[in-house]
Amino acid sequence: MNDADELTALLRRRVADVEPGEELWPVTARRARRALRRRRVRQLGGVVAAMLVVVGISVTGVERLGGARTAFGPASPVLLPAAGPNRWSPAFAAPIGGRTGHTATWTGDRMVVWGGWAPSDRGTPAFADGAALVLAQDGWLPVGGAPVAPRHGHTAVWTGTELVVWGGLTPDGTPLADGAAYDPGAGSWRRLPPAPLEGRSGHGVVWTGAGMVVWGGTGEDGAVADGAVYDPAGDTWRELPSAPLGPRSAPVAVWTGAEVLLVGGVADDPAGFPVDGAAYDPAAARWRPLPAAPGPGMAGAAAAWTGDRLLVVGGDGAVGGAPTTTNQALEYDPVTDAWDEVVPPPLGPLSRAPHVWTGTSFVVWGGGTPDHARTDGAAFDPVVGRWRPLPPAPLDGRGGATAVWAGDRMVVWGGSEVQVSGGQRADGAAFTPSPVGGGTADLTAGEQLRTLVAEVDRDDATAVVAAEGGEQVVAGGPDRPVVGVAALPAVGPWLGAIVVVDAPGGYGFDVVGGPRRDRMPRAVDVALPAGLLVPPAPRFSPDGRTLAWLEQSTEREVVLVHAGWHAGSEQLGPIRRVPLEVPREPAAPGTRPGPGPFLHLASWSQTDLAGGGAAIRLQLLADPPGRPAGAGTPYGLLMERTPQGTLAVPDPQLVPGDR
Amino acid sequence: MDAALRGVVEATGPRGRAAARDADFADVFATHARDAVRLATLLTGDPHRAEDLVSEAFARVYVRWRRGGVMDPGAYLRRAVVNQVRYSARRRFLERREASRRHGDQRGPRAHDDDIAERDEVDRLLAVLSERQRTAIVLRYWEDLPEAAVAAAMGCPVGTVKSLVSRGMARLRVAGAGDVREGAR
Repeated sequence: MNDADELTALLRRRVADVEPGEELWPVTARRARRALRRRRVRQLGGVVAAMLVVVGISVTGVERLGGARTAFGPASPVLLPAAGPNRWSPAFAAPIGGRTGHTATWTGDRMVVWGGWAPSDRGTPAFADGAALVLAQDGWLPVGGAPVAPRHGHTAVWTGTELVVWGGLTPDGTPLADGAAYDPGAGSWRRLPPAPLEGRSGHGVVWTGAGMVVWGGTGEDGAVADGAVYDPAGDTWRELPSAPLGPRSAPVAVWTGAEVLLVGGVADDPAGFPVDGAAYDPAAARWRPLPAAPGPGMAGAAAAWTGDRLLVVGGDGAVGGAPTTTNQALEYDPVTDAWDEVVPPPLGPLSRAPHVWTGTSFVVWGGGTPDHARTDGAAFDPVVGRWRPLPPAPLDGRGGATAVWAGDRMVVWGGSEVQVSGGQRADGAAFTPSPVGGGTADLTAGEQLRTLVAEVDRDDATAVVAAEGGEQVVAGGPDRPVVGVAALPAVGPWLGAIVVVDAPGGYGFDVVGGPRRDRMPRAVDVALPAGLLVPPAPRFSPDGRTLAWLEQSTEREVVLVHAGWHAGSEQLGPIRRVPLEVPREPAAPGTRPGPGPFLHLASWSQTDLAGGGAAIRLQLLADPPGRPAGAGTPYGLLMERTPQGTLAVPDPQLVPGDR
Repeated sequence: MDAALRGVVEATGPRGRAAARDADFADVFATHARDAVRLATLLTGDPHRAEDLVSEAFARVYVRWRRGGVMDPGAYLRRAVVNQVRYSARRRFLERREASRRHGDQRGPRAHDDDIAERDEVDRLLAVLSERQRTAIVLRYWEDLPEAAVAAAMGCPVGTVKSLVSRGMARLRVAGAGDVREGAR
């Protein structure tokens, strides 16, 4: 490389023949419409006083069930079995004192509650203990022996192996600068080395996968604007470079996978409730400023990183100098470096609300204003931009409760009555979200299985998520049951999705995808006859190139839908109604004949033919009424793919034993 | 919006037709899509991934554009593409790791025309750069942008761009010299 001109020429030749594919615009148009639907500007509302306290930060991790330790007497059933979709469990009590200002953290198999306090007219006891709710054992284990002083207003993160608590306040309000790490498996604690920070509470904290980043908060003399990162591998602290942010407490803090986002919070007077923010890139040890968020403020807001955007709901702020609590919902998109208002929750003003990100939806419950504790909640699906109210919870309203996502349910616990001194709570309940609209796939289990596509199609907003690695696709909609689930073949990296939608005049499905290296995703619409029940089990051929969908519409007719890819070009077969000869089971004397047999797709094979065609054999199975599934009569169906690249289905009579 | 593009829109069904109501945005797309895909290709080394990233970037820009928040669509889109590439870095890392496992004898016979050889060489050279160096170099020398525009696209000070370009060029020279030595053997 000699000079800039040569480099310019090389770069230009490198992409001289790169042109957008013909599918780029249709795909983009669909994505753009989806993105627009997410955003519905709303009016800000709410007029009440502000309050600010930071609740514990919960970080989901993976950890194996540790060794047994002495439990709180016999374990009493508290949560199991799961309450079922879109339902709350009965309220349950913990064998520890009610508290607020505690942290609750999910560690892979248990919710660890630690610290907190219970101020009352009789004193202000704080705690240096806690308890762990172990779901598999449906019971509580004690968490004691912490080598640090009792505290509240601290933070906690789960590193994957340890629960790290840091900072907070003593009962008399002295900021603390120490912390400790708890190993749930061993039940042991260790002290952290001294932090290069003054004591504080209300700081923002995130776990980045490699370190615990602490920034801001309120120290002895007011709000602070410094931070540090703790590396548990080296057991060391490192100061952060100076941030382009003023001092503040209670900032929203999330980890995007690449940056720490810090926004909003509470500053010392007269700054009030700042709405600016900054992003810190640990790899580059570099800050960048974020644009100011709309609205009056977001202190104490419920917030989460939803995979590609920061979602912030509610929070405290000020309008014209008057404190207010909002129910606004905002999204920050780091790609456009811009904020957008999105449809607000169907709830009143809320702050300090327990909330979780489930991997597919954002669930918030309770919280409220300084003089009113909410008892309602809602779930937001960012893919479709829609909120759904939660059913009534078996819990009283409270402030300072915490929530963790336990993999299949949100566990809410603790807190205190808003206006009653000494009203700390030791009870909680678990909410199991509906899989409809929220997705049911475990798309977070491992780096190779990631959500690559989150599609929305049609205005009735059916959602689909797709996974990399050939594992799972789930489709569903917020207002209707899941109607299609497909397993992608494990034949290499795919971008794939199938979505079944409720189209006018019947059902339809889209097929999006193909081998990543071959092509851009594309969509296919197929309208199925009205009244046809879409089957729940579409199949891919073993080579991953073709997809079939099969349904029996009458006792004597089968509808076959098939689509496929071959050599990077998409092919779609017609919807066919194929006559079916299924002998009825003879009715037993004195009984009526049962309904027709249930026909399902039993197997699939494909053989490439000389000359470019392919023979595809579907093995169908008819299970007569009253007999076990799979014990029925096999049928065969031969399809042929012609060298011209179209799928042709002859009109075979499906009879037992055919091929 | 040209007729061919509108035809594609119409052919995509109700969703496409709805999007076509924003024909002006389709014009923005038609104007900038090629450069955006080329930029993303140079930033990622993968034209297929580049299309995916550009599509997502356009979709996000569209929301801002509808609200009148985009005065210069080209510059706004450029920054969106840069950010989209950056935020996909984690996933890209995994894919590169996977691709590296496929290198070597398992690749089988490969075509060896001059164009492919040069393209591979450019990709290899760009791969020696850090992500931010690569972005700065591509914007500066492929797009021929002034340093201030590069800084705007990357969301960093001009001084940082100068540093990234300088260090990136130095690294490219070292990598290029290594090739010469290898070729002489």
